[in-house]
Amino acid sequence: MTGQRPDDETFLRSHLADLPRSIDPPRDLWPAIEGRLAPRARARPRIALYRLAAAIALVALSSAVTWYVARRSDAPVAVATAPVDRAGLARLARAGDIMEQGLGSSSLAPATRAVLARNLVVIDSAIAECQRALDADPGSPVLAGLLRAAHRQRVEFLQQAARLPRS
Amino acid sequence: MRPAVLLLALILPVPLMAQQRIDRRMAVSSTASIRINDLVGMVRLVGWDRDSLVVVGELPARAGQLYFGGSTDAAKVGLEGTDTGSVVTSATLEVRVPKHARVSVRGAVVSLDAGGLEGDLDFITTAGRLHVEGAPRTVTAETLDGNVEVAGPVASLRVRTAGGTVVLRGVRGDLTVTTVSGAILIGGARISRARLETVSGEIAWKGAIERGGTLDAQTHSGNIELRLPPTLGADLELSAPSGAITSEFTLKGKPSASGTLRTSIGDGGAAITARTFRGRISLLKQPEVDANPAAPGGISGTSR
Amino acid sequence: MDPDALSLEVRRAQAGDADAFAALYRAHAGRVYAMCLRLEGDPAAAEERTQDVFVRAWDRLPGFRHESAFSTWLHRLAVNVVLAHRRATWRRDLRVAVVEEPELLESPRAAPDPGTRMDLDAAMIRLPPGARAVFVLHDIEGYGHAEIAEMTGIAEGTSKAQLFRARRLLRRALDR
Repeated sequence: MTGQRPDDETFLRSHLADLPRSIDPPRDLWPAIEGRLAPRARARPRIALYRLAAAIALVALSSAVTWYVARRSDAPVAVATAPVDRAGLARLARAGDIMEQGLGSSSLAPATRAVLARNLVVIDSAIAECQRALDADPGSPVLAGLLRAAHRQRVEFLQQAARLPRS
Repeated sequence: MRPAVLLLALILPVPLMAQQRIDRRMAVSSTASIRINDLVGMVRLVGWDRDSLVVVGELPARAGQLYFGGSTDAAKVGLEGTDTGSVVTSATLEVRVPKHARVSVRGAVVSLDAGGLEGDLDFITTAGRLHVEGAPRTVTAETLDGNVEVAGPVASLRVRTAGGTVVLRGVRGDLTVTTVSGAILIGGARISRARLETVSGEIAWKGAIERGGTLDAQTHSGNIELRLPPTLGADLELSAPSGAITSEFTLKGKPSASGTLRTSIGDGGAAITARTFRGRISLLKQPEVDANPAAPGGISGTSR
Repeated sequence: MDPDALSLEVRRAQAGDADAFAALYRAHAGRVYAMCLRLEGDPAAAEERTQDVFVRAWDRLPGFRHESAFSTWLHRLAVNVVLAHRRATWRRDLRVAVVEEPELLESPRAAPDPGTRMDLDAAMIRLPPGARAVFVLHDIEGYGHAEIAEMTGIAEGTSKAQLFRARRLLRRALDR
């Protein structure tokens, strides 16, 4: 019995390789799905009032975060001697998350969204890399400073995105 | 439509038919606020000695309609009804403004060449390119994906781009440049304060720092190259946890275990901080006689 | 869809943007439907389950932490949705482990037309439900026997037995 098993597996391998990973449904299922989405789903950014509210909220949020970041970035730059401020890092990360959530519900052109996403990947990778290094060397003020700077760059980049002309 | 007109319409080439000739003029004050919205294609912005606002040029039909108006203290120029489904590159406009005017440019895609301005220039676009020559009092430029090039003794300059390259020549005073992946290339600078930050781009600096001034350069994964006057006095804090620190200046001391070197060159005075997580830091001496002092420092492999 | 654009669409959909979620549906409907069709073996049921998957994904999306690719998260969710729907009958079907005697293997649902060469999808649809489920999850979706056991509530050995059975039946069908 076990002698036969590899044969079946090998036999099927070429068939599996040819198997389409994707099969289009015979009809568009989206209208039916959309009709079943919970009320949260009805938040459509095409509604002008929603857009206006989102824009106002984003500007307000951006201003609040600007104050926060400006307050922090005016500090002396001698990061090599700065203590590791984990709570401050967490606050900065949270501010970025809130900005990103706010931006997600705003109405930007697809091409702009793609540029945003591409650059967020660059920043997020830098944050992850600094975080890993800091995890390995938790007392390093240099790494903490670099991580903090990466978080601040994320917030400032999202602020820039919030100021962009809407589509 | 009369037959002759119809015939003319049929035989005229489409682009010619579709092109609008623009020539609009109005009087404004010498320090007026001029707002330029949603222009497309190539735009030349010229500061001149007259107290008037002029827009001349040609627009394809799909660029939409030009609006133009306002008061002597605040005027507005822009396009409405632009075909957003296509990229309009054939528009060519020249906007002349009083040289001390405050000019604000907003839009999605515009390539702006500015010259002769001595007031404030504010430029916020998604994919716009900006080239400024001259000495505006301040330049604030934000573009998501466009390059920014400024040549001239701008006293205060703030540039932010995500993927674009920033090239600055001969800038003065106060400088803040931030990119995500774009390179920051600066030549012939003399600043009192500069903050240069990028995430994955390179930083190349060639210029002087005033006594008591600060230069803060930071990149996560790029290299930092600083070409400094041989006689410069500065206190240095250089951090490169994963890369090397090399110098043509004699540096006393050694990097700490965390990769930070704190030292001085000359008699100190200016403060220079350079940090890169993954790249290297190079300190180079600027030639005593620099054939082209305003040429930005370069890093091999950096695209311009 | 470009992966970067997709990531932003996910974030927008998490924030409640139904248009972004529609874009995610367009990007993933084909793969989800293919899996549902293969697990259910019936196009009408596959359409139902595909709808269920996206409705459930919308409800669960705020909790998606970006710790894995969105597609990975969605496909695991899809498997769970289909399994939950068919749990009672599938458990029974999956537990039918007949490995001692190949002759005891169940026959495919319906024989193909004589002279017609079958493709793998057509052959899979004719598999008994239990064998089909394990084959789809293991050989197509890439889950291990331990994961399949965890998802379906059967023993690992039963999963292996059903896979053997599915492969044998498929080979017979395709060898004709």
